[in-house]
Amino acid sequence: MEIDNTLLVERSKQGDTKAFSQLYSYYAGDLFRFAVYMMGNSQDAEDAVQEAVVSAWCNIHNLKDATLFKGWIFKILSNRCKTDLMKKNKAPDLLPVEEYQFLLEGDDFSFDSTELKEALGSLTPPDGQIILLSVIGGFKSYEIGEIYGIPPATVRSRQKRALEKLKAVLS
Amino acid sequence: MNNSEFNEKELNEEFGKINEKLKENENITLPDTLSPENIARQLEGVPQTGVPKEVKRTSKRKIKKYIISSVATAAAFVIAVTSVMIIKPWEKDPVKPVAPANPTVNAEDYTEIENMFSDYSDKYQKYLAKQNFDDVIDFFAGGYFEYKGSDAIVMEDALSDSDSAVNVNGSAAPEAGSGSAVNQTTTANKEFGKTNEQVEGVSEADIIKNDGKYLYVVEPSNADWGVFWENMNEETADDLEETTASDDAQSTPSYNPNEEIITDPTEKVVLEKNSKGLPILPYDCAIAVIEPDANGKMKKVASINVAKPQDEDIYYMEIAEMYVKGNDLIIIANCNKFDENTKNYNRYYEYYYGAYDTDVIMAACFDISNKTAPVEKWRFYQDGDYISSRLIGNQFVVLSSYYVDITEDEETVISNCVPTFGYDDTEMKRIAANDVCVMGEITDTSYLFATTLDIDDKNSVKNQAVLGAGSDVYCTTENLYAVSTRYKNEGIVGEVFGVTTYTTQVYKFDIRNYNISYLGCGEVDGFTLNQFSIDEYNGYLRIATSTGSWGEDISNYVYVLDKDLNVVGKIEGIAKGETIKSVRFTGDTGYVVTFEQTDPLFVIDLSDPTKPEIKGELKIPGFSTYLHPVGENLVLGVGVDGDENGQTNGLKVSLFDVSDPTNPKETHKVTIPASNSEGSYSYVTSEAYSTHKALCWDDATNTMYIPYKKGTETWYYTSDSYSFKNVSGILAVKVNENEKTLEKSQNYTVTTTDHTLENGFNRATYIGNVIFGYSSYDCEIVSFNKGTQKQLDILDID
Repeated sequence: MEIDNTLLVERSKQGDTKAFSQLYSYYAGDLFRFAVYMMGNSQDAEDAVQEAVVSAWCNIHNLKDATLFKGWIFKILSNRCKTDLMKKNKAPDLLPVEEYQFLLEGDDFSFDSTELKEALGSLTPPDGQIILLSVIGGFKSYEIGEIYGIPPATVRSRQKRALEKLKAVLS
Repeated sequence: MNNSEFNEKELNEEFGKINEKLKENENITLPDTLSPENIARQLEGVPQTGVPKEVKRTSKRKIKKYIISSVATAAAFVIAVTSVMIIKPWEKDPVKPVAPANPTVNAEDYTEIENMFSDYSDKYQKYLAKQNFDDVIDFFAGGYFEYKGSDAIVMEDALSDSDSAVNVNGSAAPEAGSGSAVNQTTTANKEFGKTNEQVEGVSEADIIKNDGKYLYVVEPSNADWGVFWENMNEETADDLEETTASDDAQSTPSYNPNEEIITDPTEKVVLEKNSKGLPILPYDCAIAVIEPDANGKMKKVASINVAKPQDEDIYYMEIAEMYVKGNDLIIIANCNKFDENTKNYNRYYEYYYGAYDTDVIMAACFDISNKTAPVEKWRFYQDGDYISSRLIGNQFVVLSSYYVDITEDEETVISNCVPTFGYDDTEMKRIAANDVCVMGEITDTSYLFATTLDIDDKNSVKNQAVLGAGSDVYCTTENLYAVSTRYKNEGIVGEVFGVTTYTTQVYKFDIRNYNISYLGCGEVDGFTLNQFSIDEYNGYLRIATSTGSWGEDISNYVYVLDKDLNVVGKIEGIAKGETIKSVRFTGDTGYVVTFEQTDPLFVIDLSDPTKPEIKGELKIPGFSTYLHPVGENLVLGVGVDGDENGQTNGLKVSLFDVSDPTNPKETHKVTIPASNSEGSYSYVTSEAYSTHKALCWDDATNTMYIPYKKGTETWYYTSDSYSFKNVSGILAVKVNENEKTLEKSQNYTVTTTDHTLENGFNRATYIGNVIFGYSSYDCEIVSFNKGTQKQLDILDID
């Protein structure tokens, strides 16, 4: 079900932290999951979400269309994760494609299916981020297009490419 | 199925399946620090960019209110199903039945107030026990507080006294920053910057004061919050665990910042403990006195130390604002007290940002004729959070908001139900019962607590407390108005937010004769933006408000109220779908700026109080957050630039020609654009968007000084590095009244690429030919030559 955020966004713009946290609560779980996959561990993910949420609060006046709130906050988080990774010299864009993969190690993950883990890990950037947004955020291709500023058709072809890889493993 | 033929729907289904698969294989749970409740808490007091709303300190009290208001929302929902009653205050006498300070009540007799709070507490406990909304409907809908004082003075009588107006104020030396200052210490006859104030003759406090010879700023406290909370954690670690396990109503996540920050246990600093075994936080509390020379070289000549409170429960005190008037320095400080909540509170936020609540405020006055040997003339403490203050001649008025937490046990509620005051923080006493005013209908358990005194006479203190919160304060030399907004949601929490009804209560006090007496309360629809939303002229009060929640539902009003706070005139439905961004009333005219995609400036004719009307309207991109009348025909607007699509971009100063009210024109503008290019992102922000005090107006030369920050971030994907650059600037814009143009715009800037001045200037002032930019966040003052715009000096205040 689509949630109409208009009122909550308006109230957030009035400085109503309660409205904002209500808005945040709809996406909190997925935002955090997205960050854990991006950052590879929940400590870094926590920082990233924290910073992204504060940033969203501060800049909510820049959000003109309340219906885009979800994509907008995921975009802020995605950028935040990339900046944080960059500071650790682990940014996907900085590393050669073959050296980068999602780090699905540690206590946050318990893959009993190593195939899924490997399949996910093998998604090279930028496909990986697009897939994370598709899978965790449930975004449609045109929404991801808006988030990353790329044509929806490009998103679709990347989604398909990635899905083919995953399907091969999952089937 | 051929994989390459996925359509959008199939893609989403597939991704949905993968998501389920992932969920099976992960152990990811949202940490407590990221729970919506904690996020709301962390965001309290965090300023939003481009929002003209004064930044309030984080307050524990607000958090407690949050819990209550959730209940209230639920209760309101119940009402919504049973019967929807929409209050339209303008359709009837808006004046509430009221019991102003009642001289017939014995000053020592708190029985009525205590009984009232006892009932309040009872209701709450019953609600808790039964988990039944029915009991709280009355309670939160406001019907409960029917105050039946036997000899309640009728509102009308109290108000009619104000006819015999006697102005006793304004006889003493002018306050620094208001009026043409001549005083003993100031030999300089140079022009100097004054705090930008709303009402002539009514001084407002600020974080920097300038008396023409010295600059006064608050010194950084140097409190090490990390060490403090770490020591607190240790002290209360056991308590904390217990509460975490048992306390479900007020969640107390056991986040331990030590783990993250302190890596080497040998480096641990152990603070001294007070007699209750709680850590003592070392900190400074002082005002720095800075003397700049004619060449802009600055020197800190003195540090006026403010003695810390005696009560060892007060762990921290921070100066909020100050006044300098001749040889008197008046400060207002927020004090933070230990209590059960301090010990149990989740400390993630405070770990980085310091103290989190205010329990008591302190006001003090120093004779600073000798800067190096200041003498404390008086000080007093009063309960509550600092709201605002004014200085009118020698009369000082300070307001705080004191919250009575009715969720505590009954005994505590009763002992807390009257605010306390004291010259000494260890001996605070309840204010007299006949200084407590209770309204007929109350949905809030906060008191608006006002104290006034003659700054030369410590014993002239008068208190007054009115049950009902306050936020924006407007003050003339005779009357003080405080407004508070209430909103009520009718809808299910978490699902649908239905109608939100906003109402604004206006509390009126007579503050003549160094006295303060509560006159009564009126009510209008909507919420106010800031103190400029309120104005009194020729005995009429004008208020601009916004209401509604979204879309066409949003509407704006201008009300005119008579001296008894009856609505006599109004304009409804101004700019539907848009919200008010700035308001200014001057004489018979009002200016209202609203914004959605473009900025309509409305010119409102108020010459007939019963028939206010919109005369003219101007639509331009962007919006003004502050309006400053210049002469009869011009209004200077400071705000945010934008394009036709409503995208905001940079700082804009506009000059409006309002000589023809039916056809206002933007005659000239100056902008500082944010420039975005490939891989780099820049933004311009100014504290002038949220407070008028950031601005400095030079009346002699018609020049406005506007502090701002322009930050540029270069992102990594186009260069190998991430870098940032901050420009801290003061934009000086001169208004040519005859030509109706803005001329000779000077721009005084410092560029930094490190953390010095990373927050940019938030105040501007000047003495003679030296311009000063002050960053209270970075504790830096920079001086510039007025003519050449060259940087002269930079002083780190510490």
